[in-house]
Formats: sequence, C-alpha cells, structure tokens
Amino acid sequence: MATREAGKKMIMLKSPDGMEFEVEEAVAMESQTIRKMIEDDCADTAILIPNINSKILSRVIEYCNKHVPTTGATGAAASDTVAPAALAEDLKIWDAEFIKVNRATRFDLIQAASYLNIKGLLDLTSQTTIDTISDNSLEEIRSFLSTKNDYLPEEEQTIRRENQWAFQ
Amino acid sequence: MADHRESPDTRSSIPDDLIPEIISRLPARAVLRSRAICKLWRSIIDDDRFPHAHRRHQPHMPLLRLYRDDSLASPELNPPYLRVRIEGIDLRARASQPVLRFAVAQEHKHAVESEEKRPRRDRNFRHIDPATLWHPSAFDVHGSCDGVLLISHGWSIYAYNPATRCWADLPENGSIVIGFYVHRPSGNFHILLSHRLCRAEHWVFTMGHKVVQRRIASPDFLSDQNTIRPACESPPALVSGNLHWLPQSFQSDRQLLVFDTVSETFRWMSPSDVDADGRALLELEGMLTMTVRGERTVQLWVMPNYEQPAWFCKLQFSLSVDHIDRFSGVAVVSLEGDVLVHGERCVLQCDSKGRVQKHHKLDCHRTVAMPHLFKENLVRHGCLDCPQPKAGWRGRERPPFFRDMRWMLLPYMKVDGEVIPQKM
Repeated sequence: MATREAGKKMIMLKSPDGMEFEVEEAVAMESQTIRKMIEDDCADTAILIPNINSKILSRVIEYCNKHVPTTGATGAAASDTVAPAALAEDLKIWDAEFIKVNRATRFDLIQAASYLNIKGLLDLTSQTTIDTISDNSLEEIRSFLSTKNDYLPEEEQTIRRENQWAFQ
Repeated sequence: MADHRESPDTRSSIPDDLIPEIISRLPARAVLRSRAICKLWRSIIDDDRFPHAHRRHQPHMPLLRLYRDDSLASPELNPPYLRVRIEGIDLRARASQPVLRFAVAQEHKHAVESEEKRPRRDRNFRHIDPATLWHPSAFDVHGSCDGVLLISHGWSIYAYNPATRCWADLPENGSIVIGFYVHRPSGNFHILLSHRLCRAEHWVFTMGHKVVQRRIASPDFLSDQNTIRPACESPPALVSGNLHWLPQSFQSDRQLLVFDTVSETFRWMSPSDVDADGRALLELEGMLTMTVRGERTVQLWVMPNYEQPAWFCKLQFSLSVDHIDRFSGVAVVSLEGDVLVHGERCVLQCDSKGRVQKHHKLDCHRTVAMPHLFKENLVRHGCLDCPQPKAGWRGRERPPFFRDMRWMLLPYMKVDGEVIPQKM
C-alpha cells in the first residue's frame, strides 16, 4: 500500500518469494520500469517484481537508496552542502564495495538491473564481465560464462580468420 | 506466491536475453573476437541491428598519439622502428585502449643503405625528412566523426574506421584539412580543405568510391594571410549540424566562424561573451563547450541552448597537480568535469575538484594530446571500402594502419593461446 511518512510517498515492492519492501517513491523511481508504472498509475497497491528474489531485490533497493540524491530524482532533496563531485567520488568507492559479490549474484544483479531498467546498476554490474571478456582468451571467456563451444574446429578457424586482427 | 519460488537463487551462466546487453558494451575488438565464442554470440553480433545498439553504448574517448622509438631501448635493432599508437581514454573506466597502431622504419639511422637495397615497403617514406618522423606532421589526425578518423601520413589522407577497418583514401593534393563531417543529406563523408598556396580558396571533397571536389565560397575577411587554422591543430566543433571555430587571431571582433554542413556555406555567429581566451571548442553531449585555463584554474564554458547563443561558466576549479608548469595542455573532456592534463610522457586524469584520479602511464617516448573525441562504431559506411587493401592497390604502399607493428619486430608471438609464425 502506498502510505505517507514524513511527507514522503512510499511504495511497496513485493518479491516473488513473498517478501515486501517499503521504499520511498523517489528511490523506487530510480528504476525506469517502476517509474513508468507509477506514472501510468498502475502502482496504487504493492508492485510485484517478478523473477527477482528477495535477496537480490534487497540489494537493488540498497543500490537505489544510495544513488537517489545525486541522480536528481524528483522528490529527493539532495544535500546542498555536499558538492556533487565529492559525492560522485564517495559513490564510486561505495559502488566498488557493493559489487564485491560472487559471480552468480552478479549475473542475478545484471538481470535485475536490466528488467528494472536501472542504467547505473547495469553499467556497474556488467563492467566485470566486460573486462573479463575484453582481456582473456576465448577458452577463459567460455569457462567464465559457462558457455559451451559449439563450433567445429574448422568453423572456429574460419571465424577467427574473418577478423584476424582482433585476435592479435 | 509459491508458484514463483522456482526463480533461481544462483546462476552459473549469464541469461541468454542479457547477452546483447553485455556484448554491446564491449570494445569493438572484443566484439569481433566474441563471434568465435559460440554460435549464439555470433548470431547476435552478425544481426544488422547490433552495430547500432553497440554504438549507443560506447563511450566518447579523448585521443592521444604516442610515439615509441625502439632504438632508444634496443640500439642493436636493425632497422629500428618507430612505433606509433593512437589510444583512446575511457574516462569512466579510467583506462586507455588502443585505437590504431603501426610501426615505421626509421631510415635515417641506416643512411648507408641505398634506395635500391631498401625493402620496397619502406620506400614510401623517402620523401619525409627523418627528423620529421618525430614531427606530428608526418602522421596526424585531422578529424573524428561517426567513428571514422581522418588521418594523414606523409602526403596521403585516409578516412579510416578502426572498428571495422574499412577505409577510403583521398588522392594526393597539397591542401590543408580544416574540417571533416558527415554530409547528412547524402550520408557521405565530406572534407573541408583550404588550398595550400591560396589559403583563402576553399574546397569540399566527397570521400568514397569516386572522389568529387567542389569549390565553395570563402567567408568574408579571409585572405591568404588571414586563414582558418588546420584541423589537426584546432579542429572545429560539430554541433547542430554546424562546424564552429573560435575567433581567429586576425579577427578584431569575437565572432565565431560557422560552417553549415548541409548547405555547405560559411557564416558568422554573434560574438562569444566569454571574457577570456579559450584554446579550442569541443562538442560535449551535443553542446558547444570550451576550456579556459588560468595559471592554476580551469573553467568549462558551455552554450546550453544553441538557438539562443549565450555562454555560461558551468565549472570552475583549481588543479591540484604538482609542477603544473611542466604540463603543456589542459582540457575539460566531459560535462562532469573530467580533465586531462598532458605532459611529455604521461597524462593525468583529474576530477572536477582538480584532484588527480588516474596517472595514465603510457609506454612511450612522446605523448601528443589530440583535440578530438572518438567513439567506436561498428556500422559499415557505404562510402568506405572493405577491410583489406586490394592487391596492387593503385600501385602504392599499404596504408600505414595495416602495417601492424606485431609483424615488425617479433619473430613469434603468442596470440590468444596460439603461437603463430611471422608472416612478413
């Protein structure tokens, strides 16, 4: 239920495993998906977030709570005394701590960020994967992603030859 | 709620529907390598829509030109090579990534060799005074537009997309590049040139399979003495389909010179009200901006609304950099206030508090900051040729960017787990 507390509008988010999270509307609106629901007036009661379990959802909310003032979401009063640049630096450090999670959690967070359309979280969570793919050999990438090589050896050779410079 | 409980608590691989999100954030080189991971990845990358999605996710990178003289490290090398690299700085990741690299032989170190004995592939450099190999004019970047760089090497000019390796060249002509842009009505790359001898004469060249040249009317006041600065030194900023130049040294007023890239005509814009000399204009997120540098202070001026040209000072801060006088250049390269401070061999990345955030240590003997921003683009431009130069291409040498430096020095090199023999 949407309630009011200290003048701030609250939104109820529900995970599929039955947990409920009450968050400020401004925090929830860090997610473009939820923002659209609220703006379209589809959010009178609790919003069910499918496919995101309570463990991941609580982490996503933690991220949004931390990031809401600097991104200038409506209704959130940013502290006027803190210069944006200083805040941005603190956030970078906080983000680095936030993302110290195992690979499975990171993939779950990527999926949650993608579904909820939270650009900053998606950038943050996908960066490690991007670095891994950019810096490692194909075999290492496949093992990191748990992906099977479904090419015949000669097929793979042909594909390598097509963009040989990229392998140099 | 019980029916939702099967949502996985743990996951060992990345969900298929997120793979495009990941791939479109990769640098172009990693994207092309990733085609070999598995069939699903290749089908995503080969989809016609993918290059456009990829382009939207790529960062704007300031560019650096780096020189490394192998003979300084290993004097016994024969012939010694000068390695040339262009690197882009990913400001968010605070890391540099290669954009283009090649090596050229430094023949002056072996002047005894006769012309005939010299390997054929090196003869192209006979016109270049050896001393100028270090000089920026031997290799330069004149523009960056839509992921395509306009590069000169010796007397040749090339439009080159480092992500697709597609390119086109311009016949030798003694002109000075002053602008590079996409002519939106035709979708072709156009080059704005001024004649080397008659600098007040301006031409537009259309790059592509057939080069078309056309003389256009020059702006008022310009003469052979009063000229527009070359784009490699001070490129115009492309905003709202117009190229913009800061007031030129000979101007008595402070009007900006503007070139409309659709009608291809010059005009003047009302004077800038910035009460200081900016060095160069830069387009940031669609806005016209300029860095104004004091002794220690840096200001970023922006023109937020192009329709009502008025400048305001968006950021002002002091740099906390030791020995600031040893650094030659300072440029604000993002609206958030990322600043690059350039020295002879290193580049400092500072934040909008003026604090050094990253010391980009570059393995080179000389760094030249370039006033261009670059964004990788895997979209194939119709007017640029396919990746490899055809055999016997116009009877001339291969363009420099195809002379990968790995072939030059290393007899064997480990590539992605395989040892491959030297080919050249």
